[in-house]
Amino acid sequence: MLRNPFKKYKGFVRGEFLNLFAFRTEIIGWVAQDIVTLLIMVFLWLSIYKENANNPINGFTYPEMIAYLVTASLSSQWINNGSTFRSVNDDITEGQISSWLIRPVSYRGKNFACTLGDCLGNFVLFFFPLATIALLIFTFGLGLPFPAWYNILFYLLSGFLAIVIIDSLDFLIAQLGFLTNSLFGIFIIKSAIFAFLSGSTIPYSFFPEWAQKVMPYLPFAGLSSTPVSILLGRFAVTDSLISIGLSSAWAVGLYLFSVYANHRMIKHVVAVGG
Amino acid sequence: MKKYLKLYPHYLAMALKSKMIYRADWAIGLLGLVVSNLVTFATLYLSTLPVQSLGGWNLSHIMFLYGFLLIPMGIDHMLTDKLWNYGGGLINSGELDRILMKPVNPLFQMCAEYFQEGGLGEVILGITFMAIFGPQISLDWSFNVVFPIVIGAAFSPLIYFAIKLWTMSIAFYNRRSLSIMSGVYNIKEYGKYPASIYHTGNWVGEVVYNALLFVLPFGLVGYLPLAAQMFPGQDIPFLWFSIPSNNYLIMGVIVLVSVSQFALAYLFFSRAIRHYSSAGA
Repeated sequence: MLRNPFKKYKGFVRGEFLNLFAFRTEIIGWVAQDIVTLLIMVFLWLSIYKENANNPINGFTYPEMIAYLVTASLSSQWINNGSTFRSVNDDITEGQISSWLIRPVSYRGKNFACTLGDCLGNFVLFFFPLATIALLIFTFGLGLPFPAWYNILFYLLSGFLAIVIIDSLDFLIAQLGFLTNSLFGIFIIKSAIFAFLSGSTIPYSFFPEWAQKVMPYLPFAGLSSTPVSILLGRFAVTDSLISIGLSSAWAVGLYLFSVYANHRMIKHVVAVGG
Repeated sequence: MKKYLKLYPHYLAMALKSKMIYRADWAIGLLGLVVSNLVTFATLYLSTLPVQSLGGWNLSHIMFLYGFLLIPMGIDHMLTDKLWNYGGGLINSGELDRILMKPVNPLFQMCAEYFQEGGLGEVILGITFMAIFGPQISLDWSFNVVFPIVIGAAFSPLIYFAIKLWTMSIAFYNRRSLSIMSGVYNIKEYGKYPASIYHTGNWVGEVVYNALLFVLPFGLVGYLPLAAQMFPGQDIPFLWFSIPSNNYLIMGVIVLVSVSQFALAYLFFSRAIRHYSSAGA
């Protein structure tokens, strides 16, 4: 009889999901902080556009710019909130990895399942209500068109691919825990670079000419620029499909690479006698 | 006071030694804040580039302001960064028992036990930015300009310290205060732009502007002294009145606000710490 290979990971998804609900007050603090950051941004861009007599800058009008940055920030709430980096790091420093290796689940698979649970929880608990409010404000307050149904679907698909890409990168970067104890430093570097290169702090059209040509082909584009641009209808349908294709390729490639890294890592663990 | 001055080098040596166990950690810690500041800097630069100026401040002025700010911010990072760990769960795990046993001021111990090398990176980066953008703006390097600015800057790390201190102290009641701490502390991002851009004329702008100068005075640190240099003779709006752009007057305001912020935060800390109940280890 064939058994469903994904069944054993369902518990991890569910566990993380429920965990999130248990700690929601702490998380509300973090969400409040994101809202403060968004307010700074609104003010800042208001004054930038005032300097420019409210004319479009690099292809963005003021409402479009606010919509882009708000959507990017809200999207990272569900896309970029996995637990992999932290838990791999903890497992390495506390020596817990060996206890995972004797269980009948793949270590990489377990981490990905936990991230999915986190992302799902964040989606339901925070992203969905906040995004609904934001969307109403964009449509009725700023006068932007409501996203087309297929763009919403593409957005969700591209968001899922973003989770796979980030989770694989996180898993790979967390391996540095074998070499250094300062993963907080690495975490800061990683977050800053991801935020910038994914276009979530500032759209790619503000980048220098040469960078604009390169960025869409890097895995980072799929993390924020692609899903957000799709949702806001900045891409034609064919462009959306091409970008999603690129993200899929990166997602599959990086996931496979992280599985390979996992195998290498296990050998390393055995070698040091953990 | 003398006792603490004598004790500090010993604490510092211990902190540095424990840091030096892993050499790579030191480099990564140093690099961490440098990279995140470079990214903020790049965002700031790219967003201002198309318009070239914000509220009368041109690109070089804004970048110089950013470099200038990094120095007090970095000094605070170096000396008091351990407070984050106390807000983030160290109080809960009973770490304070050890500290309260010793006949030394608890706040001194909490801060002196740790040295955040990332702050050193920020100071270096700040000096670099000032060196790059300084020549592009006309600055008066006479004594009556530089002296009050330096004194003001020497006091302003107290502002960052004070805000971390009172938000951390909430953990004595709440066990954890990391999200409140970082929520309030992150408002420092506002300070990286000249505060005058928030002074838009409507009441929201007015409230944000004055809150940034007095309540969470992140805007005070760099904006005030540099505004006085950039727009000499122009009054600077303040609450319901405005003050002349006199360097010594501005120095006085910065020193006064820094010291009173710290005094209030310390008062709250000393009250809150009485709330601490041991984990019973």
